[in-house]
Amino acid sequence: MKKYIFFLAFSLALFGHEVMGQDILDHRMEVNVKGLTLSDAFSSIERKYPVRFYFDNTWFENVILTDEYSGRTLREFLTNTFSGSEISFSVLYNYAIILSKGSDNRLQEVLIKNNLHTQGKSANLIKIGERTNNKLVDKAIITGVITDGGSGAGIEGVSFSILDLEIGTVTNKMGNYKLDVISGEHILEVRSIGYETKVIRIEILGSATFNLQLETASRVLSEVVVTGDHVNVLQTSLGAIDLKISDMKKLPTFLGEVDIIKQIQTLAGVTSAGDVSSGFNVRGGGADQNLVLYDGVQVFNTSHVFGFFSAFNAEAVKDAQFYKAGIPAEYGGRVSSVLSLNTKEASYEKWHASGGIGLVSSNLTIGGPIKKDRSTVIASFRTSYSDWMLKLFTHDYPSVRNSSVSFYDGTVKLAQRIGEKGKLSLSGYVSNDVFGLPNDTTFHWKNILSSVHYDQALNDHLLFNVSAGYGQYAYVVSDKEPEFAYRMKYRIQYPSLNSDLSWQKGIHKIKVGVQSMYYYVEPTSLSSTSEASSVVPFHRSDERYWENSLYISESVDFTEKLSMDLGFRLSNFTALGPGQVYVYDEAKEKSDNSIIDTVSYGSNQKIKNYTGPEPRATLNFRVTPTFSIKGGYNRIYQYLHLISNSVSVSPIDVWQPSNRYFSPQRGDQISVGFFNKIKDGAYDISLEFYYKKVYNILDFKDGSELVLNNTLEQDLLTGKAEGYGAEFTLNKTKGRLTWNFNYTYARTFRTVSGINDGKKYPSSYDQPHIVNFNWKYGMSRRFSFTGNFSFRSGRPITIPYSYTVIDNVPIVNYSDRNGYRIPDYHRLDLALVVEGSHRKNKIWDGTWVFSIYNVYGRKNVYSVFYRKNGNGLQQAYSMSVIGSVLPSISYQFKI
Amino acid sequence: MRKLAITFLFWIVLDSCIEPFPIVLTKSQTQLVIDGMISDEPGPYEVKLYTTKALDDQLGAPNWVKKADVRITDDLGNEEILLESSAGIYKTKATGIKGQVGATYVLSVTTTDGVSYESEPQKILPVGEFQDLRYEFQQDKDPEETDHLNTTNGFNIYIDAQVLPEQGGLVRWRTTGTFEIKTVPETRMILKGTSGGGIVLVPDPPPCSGWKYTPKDGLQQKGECTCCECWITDYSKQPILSDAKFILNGSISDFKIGFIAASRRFFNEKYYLEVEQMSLSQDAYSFWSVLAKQSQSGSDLFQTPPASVKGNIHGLNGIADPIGIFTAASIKRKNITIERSEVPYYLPPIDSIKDSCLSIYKVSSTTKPPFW
Repeated sequence: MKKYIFFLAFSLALFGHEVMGQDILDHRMEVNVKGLTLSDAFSSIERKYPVRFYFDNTWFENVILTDEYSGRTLREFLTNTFSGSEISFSVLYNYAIILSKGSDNRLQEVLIKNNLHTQGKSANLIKIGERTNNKLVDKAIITGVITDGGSGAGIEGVSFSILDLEIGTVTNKMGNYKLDVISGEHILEVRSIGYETKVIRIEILGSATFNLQLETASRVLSEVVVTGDHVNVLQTSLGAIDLKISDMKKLPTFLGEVDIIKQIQTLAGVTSAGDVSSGFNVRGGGADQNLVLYDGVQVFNTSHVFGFFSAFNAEAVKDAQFYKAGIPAEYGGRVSSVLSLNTKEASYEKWHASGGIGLVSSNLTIGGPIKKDRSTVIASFRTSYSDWMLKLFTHDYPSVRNSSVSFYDGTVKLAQRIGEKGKLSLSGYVSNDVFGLPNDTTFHWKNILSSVHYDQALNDHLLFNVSAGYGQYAYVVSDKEPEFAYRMKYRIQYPSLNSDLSWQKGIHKIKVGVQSMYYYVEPTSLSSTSEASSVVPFHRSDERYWENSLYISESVDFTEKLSMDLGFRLSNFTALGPGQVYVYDEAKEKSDNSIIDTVSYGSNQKIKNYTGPEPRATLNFRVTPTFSIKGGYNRIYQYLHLISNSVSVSPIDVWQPSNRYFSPQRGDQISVGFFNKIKDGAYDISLEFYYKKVYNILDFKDGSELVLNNTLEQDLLTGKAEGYGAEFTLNKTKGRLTWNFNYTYARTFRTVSGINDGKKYPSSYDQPHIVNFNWKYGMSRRFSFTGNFSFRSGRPITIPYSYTVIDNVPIVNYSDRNGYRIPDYHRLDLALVVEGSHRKNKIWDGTWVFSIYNVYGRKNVYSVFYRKNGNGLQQAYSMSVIGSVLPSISYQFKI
Repeated sequence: MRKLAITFLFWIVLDSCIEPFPIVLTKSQTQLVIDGMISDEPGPYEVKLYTTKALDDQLGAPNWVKKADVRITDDLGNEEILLESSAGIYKTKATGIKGQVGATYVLSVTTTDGVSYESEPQKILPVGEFQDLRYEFQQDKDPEETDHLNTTNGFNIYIDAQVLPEQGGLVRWRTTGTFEIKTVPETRMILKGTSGGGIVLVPDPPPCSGWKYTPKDGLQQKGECTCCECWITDYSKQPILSDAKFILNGSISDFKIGFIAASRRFFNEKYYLEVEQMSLSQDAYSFWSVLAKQSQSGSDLFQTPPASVKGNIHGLNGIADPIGIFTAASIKRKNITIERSEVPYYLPPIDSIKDSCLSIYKVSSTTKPPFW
């Protein structure tokens, strides 16, 4: 209230200022601006004259002034500088020079950044509501929907804040918001990642509906950057990062492929096994402990070509949320992190197309309205063309010609508005990979995902959502050589049904939901495919599992400074018959020799059931508007285990659901973080700490076989994992040069009885020191220079290090599990981005990206193994997946 | 552009970098190896002590561990200190301790630096009847298409055996083959240098051949050849273990334990094979099965990180475990002789090996074995 009065007084004082003095634009400039960037020039003018410029720094961060204006008027300076450009200027109150871009939208003219608030100065006033009584100050409720100016679709997660009152809310899934506010003049800020922020001077007279459109912040082709709005002071969530896919396309690429997963690997607290790894490790967790959702349906394999490329076409993805802590109760089933990718929805207004051409693949996206304002369709397709290229090789390179690598992926999304407040959307995704070796071995794997969502706003407070999904992950490895001909198959299918209800009123926001998923697993089987084949067939019966969860979460803003998210999830998992379970003599080690009985279960009979209560909590204490402290705790149960002998996700992984012998993993994490924005928001700084513990992790016994194993319980051991770490992030978000820096110190250990004598040992992804630095330097409007440097401590591995013979049997002796480390990993990538002209209303917009991956050609070791050398003796070898500098070129366009 | 793309792709996919990975063993990383055994057969029993070597130093002689205190004790109150018969090889007296089925034995070792090791107590379990040892010829390729040396044609070796309930299904078979080779060491040549673009070889007969070469006199026979005829001992290099899946009603039948290639060297005259059937403790079985898997495992990107081999011997007072196995077994033996004539096609005579017969194989002797 105090603030409000102060603000009013300030506005009145300003009003008085307007009637005095000469026209500000007639001031003769006595400052030298030649050679300065526009923003620097504005700053020096502001220092000299009673004038303030309001603009979005990103419009001309690369522009350097080439003319001298000393002695000329401010008007001449501005007119000359902006003539012929999209930028126009206007003056308000004889001190505020407001720059705006484009002219279609009048609101944009009053687009003023945050600093407006701190200075208490504003432009046009928008009146909201009708005055109903004569009270000077009254309570009002404003509601409305924030939509995408291009597509007309509601935008979720938009921050809608009254800056001077330090209150705010966030839009729901449909883009709706609701805020209790006191009447009077305020400064409203509406911001969302990927959109241009709007700062508007409003006068609230009474309760009313106020709708707003946001324009995409797409100066170029950019749509998603993984810088992430990491330092979000306002939101309660902790360890949550909203990823936008904009400038990501301007970062150096690996063979010209824009890769979402590889960008996630550059965030603090995230690492990966090496160059071939589309999987990622979050805060010391395994690659299988990440829940990756694509339009709400989980994805088992996130890579193409054994992990060289991610399975997701960046063109098809609208945005992504990534949680490494403070995971909301609506997510479960993986103990480390959640990556939720949402696909693009087409514009309800007009048709668009975009695409890219790279060395390895090309992609095309087309979308638009089927019926204007009612329904839309969008389709994205990406395919490699390497395979047919290989066929071009003549007999000089038979091994190359006889190999094959090919992949494709496609996404289709249909959306239909139902009534004013309902929406039905259908989404489908398929990815397919074929990798053939010259020796007739072919690897073939695919993902199929599809879902139907229905959202309905029941009233101003209540939003209902129901969705059904189907997912499938399968692989086939086959060999056609008659003597060994075989086919090895694995498949998991998982239909699901989810529903939730969100209710928002006052300081409370409650969400309740139910989720149900059925897993039908066809375990790895082997069959021989020719009569002459010496392969012994292997078969294991199909398995069925059912996972059900129930959750409730509540967000409360206790005061302006204190808010809290509380959640509770109850999950239940059942292994269902038909099936057989071996019973072992408990006094002996599990082996074929100690099986004492076999129990058979009938169809749909319960073999084993697990229930897990999962509390979640996050607290946000905003010490000042720019500084906050957040703390949180979460517990998650994971019912599926990845049975893998490699450290990253590989296409031939086996997912083993919990059963009689494998209890679900249980992960507990506590974390605390300090978030600050400094220098007027030019820098984001954060420091986070965490400790986590995961029980019932599986690790394999020495020398075990994991593929084609009917009795995995004999070869796997159960233990616990723990991890702790500190993550420091510093981002520079404004100016010609922007950069992100992060340093992580993190340790992760396992303790498994039966491995290393039950002593604690580092996990395969224990990389204590991780540094990531990436930058973007705008050399001019069209040219920018970007780069990325990564450093990670060498991963622990088990190596063969000595040799001996016992009883004439040669022995290669291995270190303790993970007793050695491969050399440290580091790599520098650079890119030059050439964008099309920035003229407005052009039809075709193209961007070239020239990248160099691994600039100094470091041979980063991926793994160490042994094999017989030329003398028939065992020798240790290291393998580097990428052994040289890899230049590439790609082109992206948008119509 | 196309060509560029292909090049890039294959840089990565097929031509990724594989290089030898140097692992330098420091003194502290070499481990003691203990290979000891006691059985229900008459002694002397042997315990060998040596240390592990770097991976790239596999050909040299073992680094024997000398002057250690090595003893075997049993649960009957007997103890015997083993004597070092040759460097690193410790033996019981022929009249000393004798292994008995049902008795439990412990091996203890103290090295000169005062570090002690002790095995888990090992009980000699009884071993079932060794019912049959037989062979069957398997012709894999047309004889015309092989060089008769590293051929895949040969004899599969099968056994039938009884497995007693007390054994818990744990059996190991150890094979020892013997064959005779004849060589022509006097034809050995050595590279002297090059001349006129060609290489110059001169005779280099080993002294044991009885021949001598001087540039003046040329090659002359001075005496008898003492290294032209050898008997080679061929041990199984992979542990052969019972598999529970093959054990039916207390017996294991038609179980393949080996293969002898129809090589002209092995069958210069005949091939003698002795098979020991040994009962094993669970520790020993686990030890050998880790090794068996190790010798079978391949090597690729998705390979299981391998097993670290641990035996049943432990370091005392916080000392790290050595690599070692102390086997206490009951043994039953059988042998067979496969004659050259049993190769069902014409086998050419042995290739001419131009060196001392003692230098070709690791374990060879010029003394004719008693069973030959």
